[in-house]
Amino acid sequence: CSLGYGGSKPDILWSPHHVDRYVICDSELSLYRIESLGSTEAKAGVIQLSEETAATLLAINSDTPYMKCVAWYPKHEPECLLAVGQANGRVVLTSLGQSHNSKCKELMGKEFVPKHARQCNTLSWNPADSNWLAAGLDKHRADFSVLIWDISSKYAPEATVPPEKIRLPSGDADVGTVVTKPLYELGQNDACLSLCWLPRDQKLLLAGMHRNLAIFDLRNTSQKMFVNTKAIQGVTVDPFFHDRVASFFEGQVAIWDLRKFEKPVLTLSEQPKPLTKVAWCPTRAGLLATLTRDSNVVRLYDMQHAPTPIGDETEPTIIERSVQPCESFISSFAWHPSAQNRMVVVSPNRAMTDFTVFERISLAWSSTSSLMWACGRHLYDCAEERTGSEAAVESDIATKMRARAQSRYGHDTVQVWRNYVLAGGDDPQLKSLWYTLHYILPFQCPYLTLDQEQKQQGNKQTVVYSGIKNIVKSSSGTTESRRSWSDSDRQGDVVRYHSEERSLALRLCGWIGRGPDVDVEPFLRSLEQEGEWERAAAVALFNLDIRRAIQILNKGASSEKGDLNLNVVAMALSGHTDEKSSLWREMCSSLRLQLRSPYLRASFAFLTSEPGAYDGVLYESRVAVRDRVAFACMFLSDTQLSRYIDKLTNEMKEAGNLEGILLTGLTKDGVDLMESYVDRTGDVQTASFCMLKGSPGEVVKDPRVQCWIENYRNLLDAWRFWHKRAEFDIHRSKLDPSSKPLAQARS
Amino acid sequence: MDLHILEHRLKVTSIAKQGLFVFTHPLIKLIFLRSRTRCKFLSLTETPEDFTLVLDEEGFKELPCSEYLQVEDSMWLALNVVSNGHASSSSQAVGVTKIAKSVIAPLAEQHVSVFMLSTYQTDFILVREKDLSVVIDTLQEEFNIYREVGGECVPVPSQDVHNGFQKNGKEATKATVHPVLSPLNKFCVMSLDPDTLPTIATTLIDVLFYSSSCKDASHSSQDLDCVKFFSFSLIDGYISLVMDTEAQRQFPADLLFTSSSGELWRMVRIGGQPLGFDECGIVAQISQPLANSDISAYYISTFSFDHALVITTGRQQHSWV
Repeated sequence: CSLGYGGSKPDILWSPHHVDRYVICDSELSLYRIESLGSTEAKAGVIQLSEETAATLLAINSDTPYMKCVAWYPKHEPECLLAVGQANGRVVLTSLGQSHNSKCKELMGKEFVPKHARQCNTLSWNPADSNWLAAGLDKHRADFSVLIWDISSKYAPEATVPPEKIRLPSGDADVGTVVTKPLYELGQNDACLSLCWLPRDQKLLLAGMHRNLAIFDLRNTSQKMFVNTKAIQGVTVDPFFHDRVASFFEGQVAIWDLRKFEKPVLTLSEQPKPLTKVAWCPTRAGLLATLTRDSNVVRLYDMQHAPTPIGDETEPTIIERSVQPCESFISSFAWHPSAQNRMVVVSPNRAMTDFTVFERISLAWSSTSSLMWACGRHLYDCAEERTGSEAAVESDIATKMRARAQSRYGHDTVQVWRNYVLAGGDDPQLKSLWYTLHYILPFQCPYLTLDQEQKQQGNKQTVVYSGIKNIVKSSSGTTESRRSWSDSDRQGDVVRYHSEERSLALRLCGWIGRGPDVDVEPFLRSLEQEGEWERAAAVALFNLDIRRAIQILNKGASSEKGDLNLNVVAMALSGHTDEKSSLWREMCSSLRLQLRSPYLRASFAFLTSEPGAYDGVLYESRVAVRDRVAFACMFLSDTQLSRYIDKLTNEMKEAGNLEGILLTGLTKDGVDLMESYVDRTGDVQTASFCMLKGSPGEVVKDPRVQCWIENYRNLLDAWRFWHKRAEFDIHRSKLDPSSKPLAQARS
Repeated sequence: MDLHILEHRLKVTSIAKQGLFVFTHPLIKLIFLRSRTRCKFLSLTETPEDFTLVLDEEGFKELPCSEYLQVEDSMWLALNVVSNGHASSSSQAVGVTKIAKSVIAPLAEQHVSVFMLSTYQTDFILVREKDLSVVIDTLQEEFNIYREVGGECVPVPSQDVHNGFQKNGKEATKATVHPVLSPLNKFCVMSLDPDTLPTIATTLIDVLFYSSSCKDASHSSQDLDCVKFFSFSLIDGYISLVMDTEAQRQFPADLLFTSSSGELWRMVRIGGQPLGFDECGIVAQISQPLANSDISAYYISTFSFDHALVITTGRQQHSWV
């Protein structure tokens, strides 16, 4: 410490070994013990330093007037031995509290006196040989300014001056305690403002002299290494990087590398007020704290990520920030020697604050969706935890995509619908999407499922490919037929519409198979197989086969894990009557809304609806889009149908609902829809695979599609799925011949 | 060895004793209210003849115009020799002695007039600004020369000695042997923690400004046994005091710093007539024999005379006189 204590500015020093002791120095020395608040709350005279800690005054020493600097003996014992540098250049050993250590008693009061009196600016104990104490003094024309005292040396009788001639304010100086012959004398006719021993060698001493920094080598005192600079105050070695040194001048801190000791490796941004203290954090690498006069903040410079570049002119980056430990001005601060990032600051009125600098938190996502953050010396890894079947939170899309990539999602080009299973088989939108693609693709690639009729309908390919919306628009020659319930012999009043395009749409909806056959039975059977009883019953009902619907429900009720309530529904169905004013109708239309199954609700809505007014079915949002569309194709007139499909398409596009792909097909509309899906979910994987199927259409060239594809490839790279990336590229080049052949990387 | 050309630009002035009252206010401001001025170099020396005041331009601005103030026309620069750790000799002799051979003698040979100012901390060699190129030419062989600019030391590029070398243009006058006077009073050279300057303010004011009034009574028939000599300097924040033992007794003993040996010095005043500023070789004349005998000395020039101080211990040291 190079502050003068003549004024009222207190300085603070931590005990090098007793982690709970520190000394405040101003006109006197006060020893404090710091404790956690809980254990000391009741006692009197306890000064609270923070929410958790408090200090107790243990001892006061006012024996040494004109203190200019203080340094704490670096060894464990004697515990509270301090060297005090005085205004007249004398160095006095003193202690705080009672010590029964004999060595301490021997050293106490010992004085080291320079030939010519002048201010002692700084003191530094040698860390290796604790008998060596370096003192830096002001200039004298004939004397040396760096004196290295051996505290174990005895009074030198050969000293040229008889003790009675000493005219200094030494008080009752005992002859035996005054040492006048230093071990080494350095820096003749110069001033020394700051000092520190270099950890590299016990005999290397770095000194801030008048207008230069000098390294003295005690093995050869006639030589020194020096560099001219103004930044000569407060020299201090980085405890983690022994070649790095900080010094300052007025408002500017210079950082030096002793291996390249020609100019500072960097200078920190200049402060408007003069600096009073600069200190490396002893518990955290590369953290430098600085304090300026009349300031209530400690400025921190983080050089952790900036190992000093050698031979590189670029200045390393440093992160600068300020912390404010207390409201008042800070007179001085001291890092705790071992508690991480902790310091005690003292204000000019001696108010003290215990303060821990909170580390900046750095945060990083791994490409495998785990999250990691670092704070101080702690590293936290936050990985997604699968809590078995009851996963409360849906997995992140990145996790899902990664799992899907591993299961070869998107790569099944034969049984296209199976990609839904590869995707995990739990997402209804993906299910709809892949079934849609499954139904569309045979049209697109006729040779995959050769069929004479379809070959003839080659011109339909593009229409199919462009979705039901366009198919129904092109519809012409719609015929209508009045149908009645299959078990009724009465002329029905249900109007059903037919056209080639409507049949094609039904086929795309998956209701009917290929070929001239328009039988819905295979579809019903597949639904039964999957246990979708309500849906199967509804489809049967929409095909006006009420008996089949009842049969399905019965079957569902009797199946394994079946719901017996389905029998009750069947019972209700069996009571169906056309009678407009019947009690059955009345009850059905009012109670149907309480049914949980959307398909059952739609079924009863259909049964109780007026002819041509099917909103209860068409806008039952939880009924699959394909079923609603198929229904609409059967029961809506051309105008109604077109309006309904348009409306539904826009709804799907806005919501980014993949079920809508059935309507839009792989057209620009489809890309719009996919765009809002990707915006909503981030699922570029599905988007890429889906849109690649659209080749060789315009859609693949859409920049949005290219963007999804590139992003998906980057994702695969980030996961280091090199083989999956290659597979994807192959898949892509097959479907999109325009994609550039990829360059082979050879090493 | 390094030679530093300091930043201070100095004026050498003399205040007539009877005109001191005109200057007490600026002097008190310059000495005690450092934060109120930008003056960084101040030296005030009282001799029986006058008060010699050497100060930088900033300090000079504080002085009022007065018939009692004599100002030497030139701008002076301060040189300072820094040993820089390359201890060339084991000689214990310091001060003027140390630089006699390397600085003072060569400058005298080149007819450069010097004004010496020794302090507790160091020795300043003042030269005229117009002589600077000659000084650099003369000393660059012996020294690494640095010029202090904005607090940084900038090496002065070496000049071609043979090209553009200019003599001072003065004829070498045969060295005049000046009469010397050695009063009996003993002097000490001391320093002071600037923080404690306020503590001794009244004593210092008393000694500086009121010394003659009280002493003239007792020493009215002043013989040459004792000569009034008191010097105070405040340079770059460092205080240096030279006073005789009588004056020293007026100060509190525990505040002034000096050598632990408590050494005392005898003064030798050079010159019977005011020396003026143009004569060269006076310092060299005095310092050469001292250097030859390895005797430590202080040297303080004033407006009219030069003053050398030599240590009292050891009789042989006076034999040079």
